[in-house]
Amino acid sequence: MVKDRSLSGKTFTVVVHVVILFVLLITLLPVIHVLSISFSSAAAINRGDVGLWPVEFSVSAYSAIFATGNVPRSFLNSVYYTVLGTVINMLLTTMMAYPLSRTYLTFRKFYNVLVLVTMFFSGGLIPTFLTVRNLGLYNTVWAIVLPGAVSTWNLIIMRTFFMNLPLELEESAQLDGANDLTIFTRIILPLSKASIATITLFYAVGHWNNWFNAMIYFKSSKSYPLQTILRSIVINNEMSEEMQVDEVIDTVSAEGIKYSTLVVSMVPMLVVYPFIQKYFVKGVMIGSLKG
Amino acid sequence: MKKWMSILLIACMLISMIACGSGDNSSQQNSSKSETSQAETSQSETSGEASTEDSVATEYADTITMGALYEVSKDRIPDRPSLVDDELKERFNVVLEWNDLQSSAFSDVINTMLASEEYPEVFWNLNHETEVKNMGLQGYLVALNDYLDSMPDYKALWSEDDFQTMLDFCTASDGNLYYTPTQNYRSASMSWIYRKSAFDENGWELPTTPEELYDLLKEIKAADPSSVPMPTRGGWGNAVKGMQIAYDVTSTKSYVDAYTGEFIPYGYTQDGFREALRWTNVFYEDGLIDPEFVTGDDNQWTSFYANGQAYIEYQYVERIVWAETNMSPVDPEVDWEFTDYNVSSEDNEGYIYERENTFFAYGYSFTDKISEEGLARMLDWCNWISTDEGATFMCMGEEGVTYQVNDDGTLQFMDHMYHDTRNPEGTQPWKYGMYMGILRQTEDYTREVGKDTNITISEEFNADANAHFAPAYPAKYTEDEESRLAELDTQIDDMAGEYILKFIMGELDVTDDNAWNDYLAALDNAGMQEAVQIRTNGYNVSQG
Repeated sequence: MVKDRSLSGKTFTVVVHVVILFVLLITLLPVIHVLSISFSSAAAINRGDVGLWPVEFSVSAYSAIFATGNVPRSFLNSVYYTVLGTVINMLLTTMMAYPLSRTYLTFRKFYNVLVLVTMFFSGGLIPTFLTVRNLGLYNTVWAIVLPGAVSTWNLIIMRTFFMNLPLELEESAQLDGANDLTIFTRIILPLSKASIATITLFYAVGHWNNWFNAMIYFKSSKSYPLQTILRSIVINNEMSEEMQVDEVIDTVSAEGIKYSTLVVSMVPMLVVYPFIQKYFVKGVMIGSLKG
Repeated sequence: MKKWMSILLIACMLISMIACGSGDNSSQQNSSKSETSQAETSQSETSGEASTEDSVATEYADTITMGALYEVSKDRIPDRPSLVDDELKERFNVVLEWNDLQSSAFSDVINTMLASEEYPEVFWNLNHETEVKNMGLQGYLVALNDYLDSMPDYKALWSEDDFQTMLDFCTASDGNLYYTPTQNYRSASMSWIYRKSAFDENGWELPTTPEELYDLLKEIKAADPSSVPMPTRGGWGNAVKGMQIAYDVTSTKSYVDAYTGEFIPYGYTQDGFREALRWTNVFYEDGLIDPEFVTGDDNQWTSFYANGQAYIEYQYVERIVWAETNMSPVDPEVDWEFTDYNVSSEDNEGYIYERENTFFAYGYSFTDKISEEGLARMLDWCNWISTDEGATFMCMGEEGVTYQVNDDGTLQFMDHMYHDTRNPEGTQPWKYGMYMGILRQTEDYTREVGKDTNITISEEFNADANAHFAPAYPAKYTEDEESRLAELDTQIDDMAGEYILKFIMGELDVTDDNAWNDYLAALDNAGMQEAVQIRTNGYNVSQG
């Protein structure tokens, strides 16, 4: 790439860097603040002393949330729903996107319209609930992972990516005797790592952040994922009352509980990102050329 | 690769099959429940485990299984089966299948349940009076009026007059009672909490009038310039509350004057309220309250205590424990106490306090899906937990498991149970299913959870001839009036809030008649006269 060494070019570069730095700071500072509070003592938090560095370092908030059982259990629930849901999502999405991307598919337009319609019209909460109940999914994990098994948006991105793959690859494989399944699994999928990684991430984050469905479809709060518990804590400070934080303020603070739970919910996604970053940068561009 | 692909496809098929099959049981149970008639449900879930049934009275020979909605408030989820489950089974041969409902998502979940008819027979502890009444009016709940005589111990929680008053308050607009109100163990809960250790050390006198309070706050500020002598919890309502009580204006919008017995349809237009605003403005201007009280939140409020900046506040008396715990890291010798009177205007004989009703507006409700037999047993349960034995069980649990009896006859939680000083890390009573769903709170429990200050202040006020209160009245509105009033209140409150903030912060002079008249005119424009008319009608109807 040729560098623009003119004054306006340099000024532009400086401005871009300043803007990026600003965006970085406003993104990063709240996260650092949350981390700092979660590792500070209750007294320091209540005094309002904590800024961007822990004051009177303490892990009592983490001890408290892991001692109650709700957070660890809901964390494992979240992992379970996320893994199971994402696997189902990817299986169904790739297997549906591939045929829809092939121009020779009979009634292809009709199927595409069917898919697109669901982007603009949905049944609404009550009909969806009734459907889930009547299918026998109520109060089971399947009520969480099956109703949104194929996201139309992700399906279209995936389909567009498959459409960009040259048809000649498929034809040459056919000449070598490969059937559709072989072409899909041995040629199409290996060439689609970037898009698969990206869509997987979209789905996984969606499952990880989902709190509403669990509240509607589960009878027992023991089945709730972490985000549902987290929402309760953030909205109602419920946890603080459970632990009688008012009375044991010297060891645990309501704010500490809230922020340590936030950290616990953030960590898995933060851990996953670096591993798929190389695919992600490439993957987010997919689907931008054709629609 | 073909093998791999085949396995993948088989896995897909298996997942689909399991998905369709796994929910069958619950679904079929649920749908069968919704389709089954009341009479059928009563007999539908009969089981015959002889060992358990031996201990059950013959009248409860058949086990009845019902669904129960449990509102999860403050994350209090019992470990099930809990002591309550065991007791229900052993004593009444009832098995409840719990359905947890997070308080924060109440409306979404309950509306979905009702629309899909996926609601259980029992609502264990819903604390949403308006919604419960509405569900009753829509026909989802059983009217309990005709069953009250079958619960003599429950009725005995109140005197005859109080019971009638309770019914007047708690019945819906169709005259039916759709839940079992809970007895209130206290009649008052607020007065002035103060930092006694600092008062003793500095020789400060407790104030009895607004003037004395002002002098005291200035004295505190002079002695400790970094202090916020009278912090409040945020918002103008909390900032003004202590002062409006001093001028006989209760925190409810309409009330009956404690001294004259006159009905006041809107307190925020009273001269007393104007005086309260004047004082609050003075406190604000002199830096005696939180300068950011408008936007202040709980954290900010707590920080004044944690930093040792707080000295006195009109607050719930049980907060003295909280205040001491927060302040002890910076002042280990700190001691907070509460007054047995309220600050009052010199014009008054004595003072007023906000007297609470003899009931809490929450309890058990039963849906139209419940069988006659199921209802009878649940009402027996309600009656039993109103007795000494039952109330002790619901509050303290089981002797030898959760509590022990002291030599003086009082009950005390065992060592492994939570107690604010003995064992702050201990097991909470609700882990055993206790407390949630009580209809009566015992003295032992109140003492053990550190809320006996409420009983103390109630007794102090009750015994004090100088203590006056605004008598409660059960306002009766039609459904139309109720919805119109809600609409008007939103407009009026917005307008009032705007002016009140300006008065407190000095943007408008509350002592200037023109400014005050502008305020009154603005409220009129927002619909106050219509609201006053509706409120007055509601009051008149309640008075017969």
